[in-house]
Amino acid sequence: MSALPLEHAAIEPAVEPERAHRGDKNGERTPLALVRPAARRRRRWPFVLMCVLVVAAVVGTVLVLNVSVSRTQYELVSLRSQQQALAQANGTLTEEINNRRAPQNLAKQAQAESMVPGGQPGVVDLGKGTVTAVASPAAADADAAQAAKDDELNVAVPLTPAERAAAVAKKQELARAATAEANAKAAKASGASTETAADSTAGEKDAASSGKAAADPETGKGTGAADESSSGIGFTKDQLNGGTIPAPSN
Amino acid sequence: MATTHIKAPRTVRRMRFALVLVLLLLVTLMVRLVWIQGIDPANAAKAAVDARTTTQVIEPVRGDILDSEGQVLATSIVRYDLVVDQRQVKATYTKRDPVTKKRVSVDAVDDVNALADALGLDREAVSLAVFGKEGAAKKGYSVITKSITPEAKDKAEDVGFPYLQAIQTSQRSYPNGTLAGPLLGFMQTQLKETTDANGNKSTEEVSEGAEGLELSQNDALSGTPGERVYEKGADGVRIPSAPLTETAAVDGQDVKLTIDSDIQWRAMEAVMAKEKQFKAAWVNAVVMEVKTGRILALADSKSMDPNDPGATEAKYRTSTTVTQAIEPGSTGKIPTFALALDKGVVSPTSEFTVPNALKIGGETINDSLKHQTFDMTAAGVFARSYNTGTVQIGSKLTDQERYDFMRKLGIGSKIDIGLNGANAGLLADYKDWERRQRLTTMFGQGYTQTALHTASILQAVANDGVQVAPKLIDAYVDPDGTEHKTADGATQRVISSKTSATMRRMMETVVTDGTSTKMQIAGYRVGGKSGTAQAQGSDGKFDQHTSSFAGVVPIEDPQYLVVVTMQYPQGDWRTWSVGDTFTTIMKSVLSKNSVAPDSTEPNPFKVFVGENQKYGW
Repeated sequence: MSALPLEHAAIEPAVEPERAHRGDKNGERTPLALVRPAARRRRRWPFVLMCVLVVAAVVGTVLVLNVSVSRTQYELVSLRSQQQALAQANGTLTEEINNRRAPQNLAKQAQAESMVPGGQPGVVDLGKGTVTAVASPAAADADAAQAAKDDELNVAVPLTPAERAAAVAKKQELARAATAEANAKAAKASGASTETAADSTAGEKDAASSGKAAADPETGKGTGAADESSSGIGFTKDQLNGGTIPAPSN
Repeated sequence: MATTHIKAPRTVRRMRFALVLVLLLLVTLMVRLVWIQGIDPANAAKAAVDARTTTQVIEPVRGDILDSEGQVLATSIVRYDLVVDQRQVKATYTKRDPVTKKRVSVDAVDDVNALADALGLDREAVSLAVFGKEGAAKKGYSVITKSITPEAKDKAEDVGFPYLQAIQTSQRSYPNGTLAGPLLGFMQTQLKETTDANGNKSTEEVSEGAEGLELSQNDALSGTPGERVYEKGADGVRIPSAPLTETAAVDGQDVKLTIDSDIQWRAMEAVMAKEKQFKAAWVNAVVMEVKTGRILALADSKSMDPNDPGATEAKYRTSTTVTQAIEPGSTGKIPTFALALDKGVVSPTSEFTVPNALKIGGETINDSLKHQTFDMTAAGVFARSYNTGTVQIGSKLTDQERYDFMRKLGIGSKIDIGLNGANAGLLADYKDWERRQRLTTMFGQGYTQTALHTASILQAVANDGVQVAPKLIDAYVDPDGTEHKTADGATQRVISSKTSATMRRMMETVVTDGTSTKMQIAGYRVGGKSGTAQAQGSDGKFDQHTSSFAGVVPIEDPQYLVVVTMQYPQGDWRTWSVGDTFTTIMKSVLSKNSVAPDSTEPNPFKVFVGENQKYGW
């Protein structure tokens, strides 16, 4: 900044004659009127520069902020997807474990390993050093022997998650077939003008009346965009679980 | 010079005019601004915010039902509905080939067929769901399939059909199937119509408990829904800078039961085997902790799978142990003897002449098995379960005394353990007792009670005379894991401690020298009472029977009791026995809970008067 005054001093004489000439034309007010505008003009460049810098800085900051916000958003999307994928894997494993630890399944497994219910236990009294009750081997116990003889277990083994899903699907298929049949019958009975009645198959609802339709704008948008960016192929499962922007969802 | 003089004011005027114009505009703007922002008569600001604001309900997670060891009996799992917006589906579209990484044109029909194959569904049905009916209006929400597993959803999404939407839903799951099914109950999904503040009606699917614990504990299990309020732009994307208020959903509490899954399973195995053996209508078992009234198992031979409640007859969707009241038969002698001993009208060694048939009060009472006339002790009458002896003892008490005592024990009142449909049983007022009913109520006929009533009475008599209200729900567990134990069951003394000790010894006599020698368990001292009641069959005739046994172990210091009840067994009544059912269940209870075998020998009363104790039946 110290260079500036020197520069001003150097330029001043060059401009001086012109102003002096103009001043002559008007008369008396020469010295003051001439110097001031010159000084002003000389200081304009740093001011403009400053303004440009400020604007650039503001724009730059906003840009950086926006970029970081959207980057965080993407990170959020990927983390949410990851969380959902993990929760899903966890849910599947928990379901399987809960199914496997059902007493029916444990008993079946034990039987497959040729295990039988235990017999009469003996008890060692550590205080007195005595043994009460005579332990009998499992096979000698009447009930245990009987249990071993009865090959089949009575309590039905619960369906595994996959089997249950298959059962649910089958039920739906049957329901669908039944409604289709009923619709066909209805159509036959009242001619071809029953389009609306036949249209309402079981389990299907109109978007407007459904609570689930609330999710439509978001998800609808997602699939609309998929037209361009091909969902399903070329993406990992994690990526598929999230939307473009994490619109709040449960 | 003049021109400059005129020019200058004109410029000034022009400037002034411009200034006034600008000022006027500014003032107009200001007024408008104040009008809109400050006064806002049309409530425009609010309308704008309302238009942007979206309220989203956050559904709470329904609590689990757990057994006493924390094993999951009922839980909620994630499932998906696959839906499509038919209005958006195009016949052809482009997508990137996964191998060549090039964009290729795809026919929607190909993808839909691939989707149907991936889901294992009929191609035609899926095609109908995706494209809609020929000529019909396109639907915004068309369901392809419902409640599929996450894996199936992934498979479907792998097909890469761009219009496919997977909507997450929650489904109730009972991983143990029929185990404890009638206790857990089940859920029901109903369409519920709601009207919001603006009078708009909307229907939504609401799932609620419909039976059993799912019903009775619905409030604790379901939790409180939360709410998320945010503003979104025209493109449906949330405005990040706009305020977001979120009230978190409060998840439902877990309900922890006193049921032990392993014992429940063992009991179910045993009662199902028993039902098969005698082709009975049903067999059930109650397992209870004597000192606390905690129920360890309520087993039914016909047990509902809550995953598919429709597959089970309505009668068996609830537990017969609480819904089916039956005439108890000889287990009903327990109240009569306990009261007679407590009142001091008899002692265990009081002597009675017990004939096969006895004329008393204008009625003839018979024993089920013809026998010679015996000189027996009161304990002997109890052990051999002779009706003729019992009515002699019961007659020493007034009807009111017996009625009041039976009421006090809980007969005729509902036992509330959190299961709906609990049966109170039927006990007519003693003033309304008929001549014969006066006598039959002494040995367990002429009134009804549930298996749980029988268990509760045995519990009171065995537990030093103190009855503890049965308990099925152990605790409520908050989502953060804090356990809130339920209050201990209410207690009441029904007989003296001394009478309880005498009754226990008499019950041991039943097992050592009486009707129930099959109920002995090696190493343990067992006490109990058997019962074979005449029962009214479904046709209304008294040609059916109910066979039962209620026993406690160890008799000196009772820990556990098991009551087994068999309804309508078929075949020869002499062979009917629930003995092995009792011992099987009791053994599993004793070993699971590490009850040490008894070190003392049985101490029964004398059955007959005199030295000879060996008489035939």
